Amino acid sequence: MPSWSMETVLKQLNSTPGVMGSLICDPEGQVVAQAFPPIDAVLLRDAATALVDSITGLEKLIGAVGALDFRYGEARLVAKPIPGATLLVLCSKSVNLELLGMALAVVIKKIGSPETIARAKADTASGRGGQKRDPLDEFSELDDPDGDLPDIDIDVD
Amino acid sequence: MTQSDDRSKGPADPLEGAAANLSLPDVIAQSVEFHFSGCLTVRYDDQVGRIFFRAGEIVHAEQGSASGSDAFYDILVWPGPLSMSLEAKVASPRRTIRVRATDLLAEARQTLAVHGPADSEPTDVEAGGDARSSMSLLLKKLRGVPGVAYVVLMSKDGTCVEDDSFQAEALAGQASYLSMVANHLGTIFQAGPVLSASIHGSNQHMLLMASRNYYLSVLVQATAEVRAVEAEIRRTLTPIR
Repeated sequence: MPSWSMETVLKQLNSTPGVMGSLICDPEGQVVAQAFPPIDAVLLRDAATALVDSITGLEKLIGAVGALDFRYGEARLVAKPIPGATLLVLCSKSVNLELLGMALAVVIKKIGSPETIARAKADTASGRGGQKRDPLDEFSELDDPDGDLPDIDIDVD
Repeated sequence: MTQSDDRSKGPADPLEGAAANLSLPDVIAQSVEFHFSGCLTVRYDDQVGRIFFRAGEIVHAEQGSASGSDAFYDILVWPGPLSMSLEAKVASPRRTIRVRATDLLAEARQTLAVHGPADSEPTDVEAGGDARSSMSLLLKKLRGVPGVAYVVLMSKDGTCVEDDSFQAEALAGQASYLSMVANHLGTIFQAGPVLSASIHGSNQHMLLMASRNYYLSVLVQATAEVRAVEAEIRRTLTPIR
């Protein structure tokens, strides 16, 4: 059982230059974890619902969706379906996508299993949040001692 | 260009001697100027197109299964080499073009400026109804970009431009929905309206590009590199900006 919280993982993701916020939602559009600057929770839920609904709709035309990349005047929204959830990242328009891809690979390695999502979802529902761990352990985990980080599969832009 | 049909060089032909070494648009312009009546036959590879004139007005065009202005513009963008022949006093079987020849020619010049040499004069895809035929040609051009499976140009209310096929309707519907979601997310995150989007799918990919009045929606083959296709599409669009 992972001992880090999803919020911690998302905050690590947010430390990537150009990343302004991120969330993970389940296939129903329920926000499982989020690390955004103060924002109305209802709006985040609204965004998550719109996102997962659009993925469902698009699959009829283009098959399983691997990644979405929305570009705006000053921002960029990148979404990546992962097993049992969808990851949404708000970035500045100048974000380095290669760097973002590497950061997402780390996130996906940590949380990209339906069991992990389900556990976090249960924690969120019960109000417990994720189990905390020693921050030093989190740093050591980033070292990827096994050297088996998954291939970057964001493949956007 | 070659003049392959000697019948075009009779005394009744106002273009006698004039068409040699002229481009297709020039031949058409001459036909209009000299109030030509008859048929201009254009051959490209195994394709044959015919443009009918009546007293200098273009009244009908046909090539393959297409007719009217669509056929006219199809013929116009054949890359060549072309073989052209003029036959005077040949009446059109029907009238499918009612636009004034001078207007059609102006449109043709504009179209060729878009699809001709790289140093052509630019035109404006946002020009509105008068640019519809240009848009039709633009779509043809975009559909020829390697990796592109289908392209639809649609107004921001989701209406397809110059394409009423089922495939176009389906793609426009998805693109319209996608644009709504993207704009909704843009509002939530205070990012403004979406400028472009790319979606990677297992069967196909999808691109959405926004202009002031239109969305361009592109289905990209799964085996194609989306980034490269998008770059080529933007390159194709650049001259008309």
